[in-house]
Amino acid sequence: MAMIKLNKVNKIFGKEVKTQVLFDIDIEVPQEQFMALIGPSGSGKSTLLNLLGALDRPTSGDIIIGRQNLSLLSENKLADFRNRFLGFIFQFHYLLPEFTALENVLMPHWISGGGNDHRITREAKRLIDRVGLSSQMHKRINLLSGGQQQRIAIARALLNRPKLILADEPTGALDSKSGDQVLELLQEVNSENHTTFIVVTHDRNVAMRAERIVELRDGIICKDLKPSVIGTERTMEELESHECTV
Amino acid sequence: MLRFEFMVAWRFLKEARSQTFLILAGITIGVAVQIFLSSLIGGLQDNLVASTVGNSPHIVLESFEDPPRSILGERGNPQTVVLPTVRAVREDSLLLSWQPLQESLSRNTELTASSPLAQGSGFLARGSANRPVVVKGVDFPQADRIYRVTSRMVEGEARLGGTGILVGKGLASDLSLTSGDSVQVSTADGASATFTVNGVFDLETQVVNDSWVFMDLSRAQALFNFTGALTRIEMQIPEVFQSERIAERLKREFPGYRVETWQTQNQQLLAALQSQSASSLMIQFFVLLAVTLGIASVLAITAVQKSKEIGILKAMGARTASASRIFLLQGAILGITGSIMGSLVGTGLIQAFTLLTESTGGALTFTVRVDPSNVLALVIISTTASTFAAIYPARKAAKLVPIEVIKTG
Ligand SMILES: Nc1ncnc2c1ncn2[C@@H]1O[C@H](COP(=O)(O)OP(=O)(O)O)[C@@H](O)[C@H]1O
Ligand SMILES: [Mg+2]
Repeated sequence: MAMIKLNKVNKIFGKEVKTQVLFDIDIEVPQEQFMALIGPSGSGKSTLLNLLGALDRPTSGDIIIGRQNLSLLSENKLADFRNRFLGFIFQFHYLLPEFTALENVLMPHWISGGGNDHRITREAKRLIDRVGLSSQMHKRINLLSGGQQQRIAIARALLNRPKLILADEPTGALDSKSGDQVLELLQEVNSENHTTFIVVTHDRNVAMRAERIVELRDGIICKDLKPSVIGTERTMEELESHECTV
Repeated sequence: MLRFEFMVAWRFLKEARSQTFLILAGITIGVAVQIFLSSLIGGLQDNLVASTVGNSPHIVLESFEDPPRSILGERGNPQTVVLPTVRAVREDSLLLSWQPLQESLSRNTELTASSPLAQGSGFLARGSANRPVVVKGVDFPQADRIYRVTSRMVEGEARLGGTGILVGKGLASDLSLTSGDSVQVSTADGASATFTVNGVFDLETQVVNDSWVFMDLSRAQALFNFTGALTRIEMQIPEVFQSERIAERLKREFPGYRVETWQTQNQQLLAALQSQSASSLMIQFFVLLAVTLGIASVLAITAVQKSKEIGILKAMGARTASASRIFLLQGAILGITGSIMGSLVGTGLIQAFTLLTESTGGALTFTVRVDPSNVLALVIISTTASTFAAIYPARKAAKLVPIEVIKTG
C-alpha cells in the first residue's frame, strides 16, 4: 500500500512575480520505504518536503498521506496531523534552547496534550539511549555538539511513533563521521519500526545507501532509481548522466 | 488542558530573566503605588467624613414644613437670628404624634440610634450674665448614641432628668459654670425656668461647646410650649454612605414626612471628596496604563525573539490558538505575580509610613487601612491588563508560519 501518493502537484510562489518551483509532480512512496531525494540546490527538494510535511499547501494537485487528503484538512487538523503522523528532522536541529535534551524529546507528546506519565518518560529515555546520549539527557541542548543535537532531534522525531519521517539534509551540518552515525541510526529505525523515510541529501554516498533514489531537477522528477535492483555501478552511471530517465 | 502552553510560557519567562525581572518590577511598583495612594486617600476621606458626621445625625425625619432647624444654627451666627419670626414658623413644622414613629424607628435594625429631639433657642443666664443657647431636649440614652456625650465629659456627670442639664465647655468657662450651679434658661416668648448644671461636655466643635445645652425631652417641650411635639427625630447608621439608600426606605415607609440625610447638609464636603476620588482614580488609571504599555512593549520584543521557537512548536503540531495562549499566559503569569508582590509591597509601605510618622512624633490624625477588596480588585485589574498587554505578541505568534522560520534557519 502506498504511504504517499502525489497527484499532479504544482507549487508556485509569489503573487505578482510568480515562480513555479514544482511542476506536475506524480510520485508514490510505499510503506516502509527508505527513499533518498537528491538534486541540485534550488531544484525544489525542500519545497516538496514541506508540502509532504503539511507545512505548506500545494498551488494545485493532491497530496495523500496515509489515507488523508491533506488539501481537505483545516489548519488545526493539519497541525494535529503533523503531531501524530509525522516526524521532522531538519538540517539545523531546531531544538528549543530553553529546555533540556529530555524535555525537547518529550515536546511532541506535550504538544498533543499529554502529561508527564512514566510510560512516555521511559520511552523518551529509551530513545535518547538509542541515539547514544543517555549521559547528556538532562543538559541544556546548547551544551551539546552539533551531532549530538541532531541525534536528540531524531529521538524527538521518533517519540510519537510516526508513520512517516521527513529529513531535510539531516547530515548537512555535520562532519562525515557524525553524519554516518546519524544515517545509520535512521536506517536502523527504518528496519526496526517499519517507518517510511524520505531523506533529502546532497551526498551521493548517503543516497547510495537508500532503497530508492529520486532526483529532482528544476522542479520535475528526473530520475527514479533502485540501487538494490540495478546494482551500485549502474546506479552510479545513471547518476552521472545529465539525461532525465523519467 | 493548558499544561503544554503553561509549561512553555513559564520556561520562556524563567529563561528571559532580566526581561521578566523588569516587567515584574514594573507591575510591582505600579500596584504598590496604587495601593499606597488609594489607602492613604481612603484613610484621609474616611477620617474627614468621620470627623464631619461621625458624631452627628446621619438621617433626620421631620415634618414636611420648613423646619425651625438652626435658628441659632450649629454653624449659624447667633447675631443674625430674627427672633420674632421664629415662633410662627415653628408651630406648623413640629412633629406632632411622633410616638408611633419613634417606636417603629427604634425597632429598625438598620439604625444604630433614633433619638427624638425637641430643639429651641433661648438664653442661659447666671446671675446678670447671659448667653444665647441652643436647647436640645433629648431622650439622653438615645441622644448619647449619636453625640457620645458620656465619653466626652470634662466635668460632672453625664446625666439628665429632672431639672438637670449638660452644658458645653465654652459656655461653662464663659459663665464660670461648674456642676451643681443653678442657671436660668429663658425662651424668646418669655418663658423661663431654673435648671441645675449636672456636667460639662466637650464635643470638639467650638460652636457646639459654646451654645449647646442638653436637657430632658419633656422639660424642653414644656419650656418651648411644644405640647408634646418634636422638632425632629435624629438617626445614626453604621455605614454613613448607606444613608441615601436607608433614607429612601424610610421615605417609603413614612410618606408623610421629610427624610433628609447628612449629605444634604454637606454638599461641599461631598464635592471635595468626589473630586479627590476622581483625581486618585485618574492617577491610578495612568499608572496602570504606563505599566501595561511597558509590559506590552517588552512582550512584543519577546514575541520576535521567540519566533523561531514558536515556528518549531507549530511545525511539531502546536495549534495556532495554542501558540497565542503561550503569550497570553505569560502576560497573565506576570500580572498575577507582579500584582501580588505589589500588594505586599504596598501594604508594607503603608505600615512603614504609619510607623514612621508615629516614631517621628507626628502620629497620624487618621488611620490608614488597606482595604482587602481594593487589593483584590487591583490584582484582578492588573492581571487582566497585563494579559491584554500580551494580545499583540499573541497575535504575532498566531500569524507566524512555521516554514518561514525553517527556511531562514
Ligand atoms: N517562499 C518562496 N518564495 C519564492 N521563491 C521560493 C520560496 N521558497 C523557495 N523558493 C524558490 O524555490 C526554489 C526551490 O527552493 P528549495 O525547494 O528550497 O530548493 P532545494 O531545497 O532543492 O535547494 C528556489 O529557486 C527558491 O528560490
Ligand atoms: Mg533545501
